Amino acid sequence: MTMFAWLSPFIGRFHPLFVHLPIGVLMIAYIMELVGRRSKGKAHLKKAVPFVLGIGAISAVFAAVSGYLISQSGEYAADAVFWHQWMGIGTAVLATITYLMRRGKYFFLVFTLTQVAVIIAGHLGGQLTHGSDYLTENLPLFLKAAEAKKEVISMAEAEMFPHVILPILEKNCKSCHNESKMKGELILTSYVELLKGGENGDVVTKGNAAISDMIKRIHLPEDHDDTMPPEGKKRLSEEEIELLEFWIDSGLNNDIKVVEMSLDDRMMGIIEDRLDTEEAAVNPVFEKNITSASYTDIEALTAAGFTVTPLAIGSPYLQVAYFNRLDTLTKAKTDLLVKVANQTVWFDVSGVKVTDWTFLPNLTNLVRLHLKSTSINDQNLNLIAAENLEHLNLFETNITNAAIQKIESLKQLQTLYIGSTNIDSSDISNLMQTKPTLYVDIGKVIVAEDEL
Amino acid sequence: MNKFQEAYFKQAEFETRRHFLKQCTTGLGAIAMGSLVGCGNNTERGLDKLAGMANPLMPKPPMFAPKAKRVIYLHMAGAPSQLELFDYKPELQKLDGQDCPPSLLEGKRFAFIEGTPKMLGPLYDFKQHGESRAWVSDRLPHFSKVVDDVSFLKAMHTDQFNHAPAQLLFHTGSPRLGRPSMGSWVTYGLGSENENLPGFVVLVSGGKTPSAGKSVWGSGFLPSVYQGVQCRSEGDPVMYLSDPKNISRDQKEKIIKGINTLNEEHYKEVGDPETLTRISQYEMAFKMQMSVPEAMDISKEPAYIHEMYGTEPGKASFANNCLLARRLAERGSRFIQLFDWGWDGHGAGKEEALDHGFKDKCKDVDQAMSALLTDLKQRGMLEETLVVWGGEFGRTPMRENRGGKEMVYKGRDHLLESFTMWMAGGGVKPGITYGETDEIGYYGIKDRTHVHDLQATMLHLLGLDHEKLTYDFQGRPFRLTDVSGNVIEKILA
Repeated sequence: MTMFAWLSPFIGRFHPLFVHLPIGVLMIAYIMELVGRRSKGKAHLKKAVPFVLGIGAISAVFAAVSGYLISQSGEYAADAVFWHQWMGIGTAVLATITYLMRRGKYFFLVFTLTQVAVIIAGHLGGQLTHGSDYLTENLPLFLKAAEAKKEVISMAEAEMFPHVILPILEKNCKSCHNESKMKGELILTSYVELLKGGENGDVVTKGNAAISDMIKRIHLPEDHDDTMPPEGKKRLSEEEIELLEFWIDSGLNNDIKVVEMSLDDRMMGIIEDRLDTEEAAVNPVFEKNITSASYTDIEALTAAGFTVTPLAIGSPYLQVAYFNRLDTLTKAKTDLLVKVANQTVWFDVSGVKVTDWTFLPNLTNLVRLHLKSTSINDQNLNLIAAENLEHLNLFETNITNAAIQKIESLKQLQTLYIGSTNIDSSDISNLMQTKPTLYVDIGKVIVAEDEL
Repeated sequence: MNKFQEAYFKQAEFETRRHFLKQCTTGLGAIAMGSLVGCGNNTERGLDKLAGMANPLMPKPPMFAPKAKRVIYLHMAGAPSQLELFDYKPELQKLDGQDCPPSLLEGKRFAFIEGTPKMLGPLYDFKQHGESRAWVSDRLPHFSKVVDDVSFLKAMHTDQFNHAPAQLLFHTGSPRLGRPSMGSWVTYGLGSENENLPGFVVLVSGGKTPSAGKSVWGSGFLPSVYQGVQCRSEGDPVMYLSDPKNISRDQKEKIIKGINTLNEEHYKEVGDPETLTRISQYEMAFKMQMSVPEAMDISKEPAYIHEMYGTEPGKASFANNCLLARRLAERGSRFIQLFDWGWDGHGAGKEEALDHGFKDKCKDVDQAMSALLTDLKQRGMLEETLVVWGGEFGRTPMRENRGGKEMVYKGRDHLLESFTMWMAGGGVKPGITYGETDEIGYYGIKDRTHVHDLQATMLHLLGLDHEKLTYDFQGRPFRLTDVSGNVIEKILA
């Protein structure tokens, strides 16, 4: 008996190959039966059904046997395999019965049951190899239930294992080393399981990354038999390897905080980049529920010489600009802006002759406003009613110190360009104090040749 | 009935409704299925969409919110020496004049180096500048002041060691002729913001066009409306744009309207996108007659601007081209491509030698390119304009010994494995250095960046996914980055 000990794992490995036969063959037999029943001209198909069905039944038996053998290898958790196994065996049994019945009273009913069994068994098998979310992963967002927001964690609270190491394992190892598919009897989904190791013993050695099996395998060349992740799967990035090594060397701590570890700035930077720390605050404009502008309104603007483009495909927000410096931007043209006032977030009339600024109060959702080289003055600047404005470009305009009060009132302002204006650089020191995060560009200071 | 008539009727039979309904029904389902699942064109920007558009240069939304709205690409044709400008190698200085060890030469091919060359230390002094402590040589005094706005890519590498194929690889993603250039891809993906100016403009200085010729701004298999339009800072800005003598603008308008009506008829009949190209080019040429002279006239710029760039109106120079680039960027051009010829520092002649002509080339570009960055910044345009600077490959740490002999002037041969480029603005992290080369600048050892990675990153900053910006040609979708390229995440702001 021991002589044939190799036989069962060897045949077991053929299961992924065999399974496709009964799925395809039994289905085509069923389709032949259906078509043969419906259409008289295709009655010859019906005659061939038993033959095809026979092949299907034989292949189903093969698939079931090899499947049973692979399930004995210990790489799969029994409860995860349970339904797949019994559905598969059920398919083989049902297919054989259908074949033996040939025709008869309950033939079609049993045949249909076989189909149901093969579909369920096939689907469960697919979930085993590819993971349970494989099929729905690329489902369009609107069909998925609202996804749970990712946990956002600050650098101060982040813990080394759950927030740094575990995500690396989840990304690179989990698809094969999980509770239902324990390749090499190794599970890498939690701290406890990681320390348990696999069939070859420990995978991590406390305080010594260099001799840890996991790290050794990661460093093997891509075509080596024992390398991890195996050939064809995505390799770990240098950063990920570095983090794993650091964590193993530092003593495999479970709940130590990142800030408590002696990390240099570079490593801190790497970790910070990887963490979902609080993202840059989103401008409130982009959290409003805004409907798209109508196509006819956009066409009217385009005909008047405006360039109107959505920020991105499918986005209701618009960037609106007027580039034609040979033309005057008349009131008749700017009056059209009312139609897209809600959607316009970027607006650019740099260098254009604007005759009338009364459109400005309508554009309440502006985030970027370029009024460079225009006739804008202090009085007209007061017309700005966009409370969420981030960028304001007033380069080469006639605005004066009187505009500073208005600028101060723009709560969200981040960048301001006031080069070549009548604002004195001494007068903006106050502004810099009230708004310390504001970047103010006062224009080019010419450096004489001899200073270089 | 003669043979021709017979053939004609035979063919006509295949175009009848009866034939179609009787014989082609089997295929109908498949066709319907195909168009449902989007087999023919699974991209948003397929030919059918394009054909449905009145103007192929109409601005199109990017795939995702962009950081950069436009690109100014400064290409130093001939490949400037990174070892004399940015990649500071004190170790190489120590080896200066020694024989190159054979281990560095084994299995390597060079364009000109033969036998055992001598090592050549950096010819100029380096200093660290700005808060970012970036190394820049004393050849670029103006540029040293703006390093904090710049992101250096120190470990660039390429596959091609001759100028023409290397330039093609940079601009079209393939070293062979026939692919669209980057500017064409970008205008194809995003259109142009100003319908009165070309979306993709090319400005050339240094006395010659690049070695790869005009293919580096060609449109390849894309409709030719997307090819680069060469503008000049001397003489007529665009060649053959002005009206012939005794033709008034009204007459010209009538002629163009007439031609376009005919072309529209033709397009309705045949549906060839090249006809659309021609229509929009006639229209654009007509509009450009007014708008281009305005955009290209730098004489009205204030004196301090001329002083800053070092420009002289009416002359052909890199400085003038930099100022023009800024003016075109202000007016909504999408991709502004500058080529400056004369950087091929082999040392075979005085003009190109690293210890002679190279100094002049540095003077030609230093002030203007630094002024461009400063000017874009003060105008609030740098945030949304991506500026890219570089050659087509690097230069060896060995001194060139053409014909196996020591040459009179100092120079370096072509090098694939390491060279420096820089990017600024348009969503690039300022004041950083990405990538590292070995002690003598011979090979990139950390964060190596391939040409395709650079292209992928540029498209990404413009809001385009380089894997999805495709065009179907000869039965398969093509893209700028061929089958490779990764966005360099670490330099994104």
